[in-house]
Amino acid sequence: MNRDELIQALSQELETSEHSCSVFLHAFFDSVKTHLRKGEAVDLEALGSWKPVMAGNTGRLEDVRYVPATGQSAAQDGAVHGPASSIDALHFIPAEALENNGGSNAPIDVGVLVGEVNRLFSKEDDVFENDAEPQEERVSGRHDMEIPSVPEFQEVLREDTLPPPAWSEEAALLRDEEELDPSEIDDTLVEGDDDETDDSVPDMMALEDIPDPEDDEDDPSAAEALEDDVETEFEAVEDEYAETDDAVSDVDIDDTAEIGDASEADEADYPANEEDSTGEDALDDSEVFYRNRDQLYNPPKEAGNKNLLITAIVLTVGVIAIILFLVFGGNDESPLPASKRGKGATTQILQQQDTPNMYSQSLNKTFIL
Amino acid sequence: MATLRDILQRTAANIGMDDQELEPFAVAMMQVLQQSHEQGEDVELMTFGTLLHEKGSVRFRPHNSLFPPREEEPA
Repeated sequence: MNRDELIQALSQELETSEHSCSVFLHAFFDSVKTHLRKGEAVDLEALGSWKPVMAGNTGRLEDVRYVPATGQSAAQDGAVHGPASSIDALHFIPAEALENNGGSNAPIDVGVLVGEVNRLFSKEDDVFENDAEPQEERVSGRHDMEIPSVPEFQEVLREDTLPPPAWSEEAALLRDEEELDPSEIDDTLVEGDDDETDDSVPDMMALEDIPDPEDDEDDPSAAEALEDDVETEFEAVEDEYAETDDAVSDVDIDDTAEIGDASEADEADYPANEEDSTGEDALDDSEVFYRNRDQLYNPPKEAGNKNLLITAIVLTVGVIAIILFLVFGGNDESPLPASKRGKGATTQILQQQDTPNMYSQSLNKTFIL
Repeated sequence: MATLRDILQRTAANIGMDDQELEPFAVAMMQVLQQSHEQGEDVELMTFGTLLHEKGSVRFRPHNSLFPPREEEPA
């Protein structure tokens, strides 16, 4: 049942105009959307309920989870609900993790789910091999993962200090020679939101303010030893991130492909609503609503009968005017020459029926006289 | 959680009518939708979305206008 059929069915049910039903339906579902956009769940009894999923940072509606009414089952095909564009590939949860959660209709325990995701990732790659360690031993990095090969960094971050030789000018030169991306290193050092790279700037400034070990010329051999240590640590960090990026990029590509396939299959299954996927049909609901509302208060007139009535009146008036003109408004001057003599002369001419008989003198006597 | 009554009141306020005037519309609409839904038909809920019946299960596909446009990704 598409929207037109719904309007017709409601119109027949209520025995009212389709226009009024259209206005009501648009306004009703516009209110439903308003509730969801404000983060409020909606329950439509026999149809089911809808729960909004809001974006954490912006507070806008990201997705809607549909819960069917009692006695109906939700789709279990593992398809991703909502537009594919609204799903961040980095936050994609493998279907296997959801299946291992203990049943399709069972409520999802987020803690168990996160553990399952970590286990699945660690099964493919050993990046998360130290998952069992306490949380406080981990470093908040790019993907909240541990860097087991450089425990010195963890200790340094915990104390919020670094040994001065690690950030000397020569260490920076070594870093540049190794072509390390500074943002990657900064992300590993900065705790908190990894998306905001600006957070790394104050930390770098603070690190550069640490006195240079070359100023201390008492022990140059110690500075060289520290530089070697820094170089080794950078190489270790680079190797770790190279492996991690490969693993993450592989997962992203596969998952993104799944999302695209699911979206295409979805469109193919329901071609009647292809207009939904076009930007053209992305109606401005408020515009439609206000237009319908105006039409509700000022319904369009039935224009067909009115035009016919006006045309008939005009024609009637015209015919009457012609008749009146012919009866009362005619020209008094007649082209007939006899008319100037008066009505009696014309009548005599028209009524003269006798013709002269050329062969009878008695009959023609009157004409001669 | 917003119920049918809450949505009806908001709808009535939006179009400047009393919710009791719209109640027959809401009741009839729910009857029509429920009947079609129970018969296993796909139901298009105007510009809200579509209820799809697939292999005995029900899935909701939201209309594109339900979600606000995504902001441009920073370069």
